[in-house]
Amino acid sequence: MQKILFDFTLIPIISAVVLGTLRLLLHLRGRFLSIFECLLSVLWICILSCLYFIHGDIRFVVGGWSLRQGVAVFVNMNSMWFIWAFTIVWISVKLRSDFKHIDRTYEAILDFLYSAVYAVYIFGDLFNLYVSVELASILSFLLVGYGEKPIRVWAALKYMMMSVVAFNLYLSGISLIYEATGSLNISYISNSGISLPPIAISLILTGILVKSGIFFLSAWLPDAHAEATTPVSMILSGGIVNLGIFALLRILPFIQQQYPQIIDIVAITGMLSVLLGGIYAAFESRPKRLLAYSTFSQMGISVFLVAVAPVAVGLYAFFHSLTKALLFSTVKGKGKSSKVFMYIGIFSLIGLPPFLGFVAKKSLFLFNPILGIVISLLTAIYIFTLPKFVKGKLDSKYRLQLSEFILFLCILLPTFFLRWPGWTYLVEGFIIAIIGYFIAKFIKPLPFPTSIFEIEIGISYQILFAMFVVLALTM
Amino acid sequence: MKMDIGIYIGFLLEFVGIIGTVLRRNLVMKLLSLGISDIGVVLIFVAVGYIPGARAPIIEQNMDKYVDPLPQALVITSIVIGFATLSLSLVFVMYLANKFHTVDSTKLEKRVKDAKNSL
Repeated sequence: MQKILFDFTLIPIISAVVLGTLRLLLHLRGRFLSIFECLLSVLWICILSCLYFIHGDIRFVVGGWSLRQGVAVFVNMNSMWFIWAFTIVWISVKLRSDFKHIDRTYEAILDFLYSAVYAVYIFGDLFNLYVSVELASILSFLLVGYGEKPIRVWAALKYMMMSVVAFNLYLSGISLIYEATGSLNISYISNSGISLPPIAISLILTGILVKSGIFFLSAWLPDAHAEATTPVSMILSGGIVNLGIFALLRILPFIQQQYPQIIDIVAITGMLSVLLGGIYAAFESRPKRLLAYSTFSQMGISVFLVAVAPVAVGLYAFFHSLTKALLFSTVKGKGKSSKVFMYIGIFSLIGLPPFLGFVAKKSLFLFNPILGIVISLLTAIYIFTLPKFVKGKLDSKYRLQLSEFILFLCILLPTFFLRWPGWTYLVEGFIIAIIGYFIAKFIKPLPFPTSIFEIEIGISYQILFAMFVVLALTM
Repeated sequence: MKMDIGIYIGFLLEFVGIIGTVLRRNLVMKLLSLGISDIGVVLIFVAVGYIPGARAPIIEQNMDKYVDPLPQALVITSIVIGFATLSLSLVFVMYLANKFHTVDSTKLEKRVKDAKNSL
């Protein structure tokens, strides 16, 4: 009975693939089918959540193979946060009203993407992690290039080249791990206690950080996130960059056992991304590019938290996904409601109550209050410059976007079920927001160099970073 | 190590491929370099599963020694993914080359941005 229940965790993958294939084969499209898919995905995830809360962590090997060689499934609390985050962002994209102008191939790609991303969050071995992330990446390249505008195709090509190099590094890293341990199962490798070669660790870490949206390493990010259509930007910033963070969260504990210095490397890399991404965002005048740089900064915080407070990463990634999807959705909105939702996204990103950012950012303050204040102030400065650059006349006929309303509810409601962070933190948050608002008023856009995001330079960073990690681990 | 030489050559190929991707400005050459890098990874995987004196992992009578089949199964998946990615990249390169009459990455970067700004 338990086995049947556990096999249920694989059903969302199958159902999304079947529905996507049916769309392509039977030429199905329309809002009704999208709503049906959204309801079905919520139903599956609710059942999975119930299963998780009744049973705790779900661990099994598909097909009854041995732990060492089979396809392992491992669902824990972090998986649940990431699955919910992606499901909500995916639903909000599917329910966007401008979605009706989009063809069925695009909708089918979104279905397949759901299946691939869900697979990343449930598989517990290094090879299936690679396969699922690569599948999600290939589908993302197609989505970025959608619309056949040259700038989009160019952004997709850059993304693809850097991604291929990164995942070749990852793949060669896991081959060395297989040679050392005879398995690619994460639990097996953690428990075996066999020493892992530093070069393998360095290659795997580089590959994963490229996918995580880190400044320098993820040089593909600004073009891909800023030039894609709005629904695709929502999916990329709200879902795809989380894949790298989740993979890092999965592998870091077993690396840490043998190489404790890896924590410092990851924390410094994250912090560098927070600061440089924040500075680039503060002096940027194009709204979508500003949000792309903001993703650098926020992903830096996530990577930093993976190193210093892994328990808090799930909530932080959930908050960031929904907030960033809401902000991307509203920067091109023409209705008054969009402007209101944009300010809600801004307040949530800064960490003001009653939105989710208020609770999610607490872990940063707990780790180091001064660091928390500096990061929150930087966030407040760059995000308050956003409304200055959002142009376009308001359209009185423009109706409330259901997708934005769903994201708003999901940013607001969970706050009431999580522990209250405290009044001191509330006062600090308001003071930071007010100071950030006034500094943002005086900031003028500056042309920062964008040549660091070219293909050749992005790949060079990857090689240099891998060499640096090997040196740091062997010294 | 079971087959050091294979692993070293695999890493060398991968490194040569990546260096080619960085140094060559021609997008088609970049993709060929990525292909070389893919082959390097495949060679590493095959070398990792190799056992000296063993046969291919196809079960026959009186067969007692065969190479590790798992890396070979894994590598097939990675070959398929590599093929999908490279062919998709080629489609994108063809589209850009038709539009801007160049496959030079520096020129393309400039022309694509000029085309966007002129809209």
